[in-house]
Amino acid sequence: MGRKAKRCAGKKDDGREEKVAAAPAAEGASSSSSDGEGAGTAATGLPMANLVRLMRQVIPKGVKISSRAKDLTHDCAVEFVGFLAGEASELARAQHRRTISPEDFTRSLQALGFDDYVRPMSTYISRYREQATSPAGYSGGFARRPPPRATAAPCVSDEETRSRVPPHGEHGDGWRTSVNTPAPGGHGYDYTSPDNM
Amino acid sequence: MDRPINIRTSPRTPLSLSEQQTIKEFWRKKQEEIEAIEDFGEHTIPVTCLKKVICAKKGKMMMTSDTPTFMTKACKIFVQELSLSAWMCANSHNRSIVLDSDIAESIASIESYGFLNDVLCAHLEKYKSDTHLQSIKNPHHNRAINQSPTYLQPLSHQYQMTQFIPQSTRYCPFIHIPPTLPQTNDIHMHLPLPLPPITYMTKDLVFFEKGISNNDDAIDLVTPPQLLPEALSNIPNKCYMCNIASTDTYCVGSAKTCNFIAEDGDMVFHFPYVPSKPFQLSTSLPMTNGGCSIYTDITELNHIKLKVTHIEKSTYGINPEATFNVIDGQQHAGDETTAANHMHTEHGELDAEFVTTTNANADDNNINWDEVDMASDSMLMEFWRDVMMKEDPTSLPDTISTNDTILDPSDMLELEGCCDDSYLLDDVMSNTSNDVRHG
Repeated sequence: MGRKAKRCAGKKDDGREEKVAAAPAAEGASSSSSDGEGAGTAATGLPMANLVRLMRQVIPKGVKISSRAKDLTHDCAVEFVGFLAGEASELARAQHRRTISPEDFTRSLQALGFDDYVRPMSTYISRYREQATSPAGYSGGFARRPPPRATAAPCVSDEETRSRVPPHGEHGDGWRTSVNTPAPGGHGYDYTSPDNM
Repeated sequence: MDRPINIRTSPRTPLSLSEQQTIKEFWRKKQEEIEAIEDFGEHTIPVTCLKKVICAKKGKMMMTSDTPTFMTKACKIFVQELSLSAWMCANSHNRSIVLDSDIAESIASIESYGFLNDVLCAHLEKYKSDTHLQSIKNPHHNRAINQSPTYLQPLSHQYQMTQFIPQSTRYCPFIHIPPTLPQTNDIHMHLPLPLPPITYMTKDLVFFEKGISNNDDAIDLVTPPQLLPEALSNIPNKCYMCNIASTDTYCVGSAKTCNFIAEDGDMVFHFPYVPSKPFQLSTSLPMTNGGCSIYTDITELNHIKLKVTHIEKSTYGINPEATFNVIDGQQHAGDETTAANHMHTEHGELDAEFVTTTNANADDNNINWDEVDMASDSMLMEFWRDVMMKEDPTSLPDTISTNDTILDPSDMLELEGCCDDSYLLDDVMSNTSNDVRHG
């Protein structure tokens, strides 16, 4: 249990660093990934460490991944993003619009056969916009440079609070289920009611 | 392409149900996670990197601020889905390590991931060409590979082999081997020499030989056999000759002319010689008397001797020349003169005709008997015997003296001698004119 807590603490630290300084963290991550992995990724490539982390979230703990598999996954991810971007740009041009929106990407996903992605991605973008509307009150504050930093601080505090919840869930299965089940339901009702009104 | 796909799909059929369930669970979890998300500031993948990738593809178009966050989430889901399916493939092969071949199998199984085939090919090419470089640069990776060689090497080979098959199938239709045409060597047939020229040459040679034989040798060889049958045929003529001289001489003369013509077919000289015969006969008719017959006998004997020499030495029946040769002793000169006369065309013929005509005028009877002797050789032998029995020394010198007086001058002198007799000259001129006309 203590060991698990330590691992979680390590992850928390990594997240904090990234959040504090997005640009330098990204650069550092890319450089560190290139040095550590040794894979010759292009400048437009994605950080390998983050990809590996995502892969291991889905795979059981005892499974290993070969270096070739990592490189191939990276290449496939880059190709996927480029492929979708190309299709979305074509759709926008067809409609004589100069700005690509997430709806264009959603339509391109549906056209290309990625039907499973459509529902979760549409849900994601709608929730993202709802979240964006809530900080609308801070639009005046965005004009100033110091205010973004101030806004970043509360984000970190929020993450800290959320990070505390998972270990509690992990400790007790019954507690996890009891906590998870009512929370999303409640939130769902709250959000849906304003939409209806 | 059909075969490898079939091979890949066949082993996955028993796991399709479990896989489908796991995939459904995956998407349910994702939906729940998205619904549960309360902080959208957290990004596992940096937004700046994705912006670069998207800008490289979309060109000069703008995009809303929502797009990068949207794409980061989409990319995250993609990576997790791909890795999950790859793990399922590895699990089906009873392996605890996920390899690039597993990812390739998962991409092949899902139709929507067709656009990633190009990425697979590029991936293979990279590792084929960069194996040595990677080994040098990354010693740690070498150790990792050495730790588990059985898992990596054979599978990589199998994967490469499977990849080679579609490549070979793809390239096979494009390979057009041009058929190499066989080089045909044109054989130049050497045209043989035309046969006609050879035959022509042979003909020319034969003609030349004939010419030679006609000019000199053939006459000597042909004359004896031709004369023998004539002699046999002429034996009864002797009896007739005793009874009727004129008719016999005419017949013999004609035979003689025929013989000459037969012997020398190419010669034209003998044709005009034929009309001269009847003239001689006409002249001899009034001369036929008993005393004349005796004279003719004597002259006959004398002429027999001369004829014998004539036949032996010269081939032509020209009496004066032969006699001249015998008397003077110049046998070779006579032969040359005969040859010269023979070579001449018109002058030779005229000279010969004059000579014969002058002889006929001078000694009509002698000429007649000469013809008889020439025609028959057996008769000559008999006359020779008679001459030996009836030799008269006084008669021989008389005949010789007469011949000398006649033959001493040249052809011109002979013509002058003829001028004395105007009547005979007129006859000679008429004969020559007739001969010329015939010639």
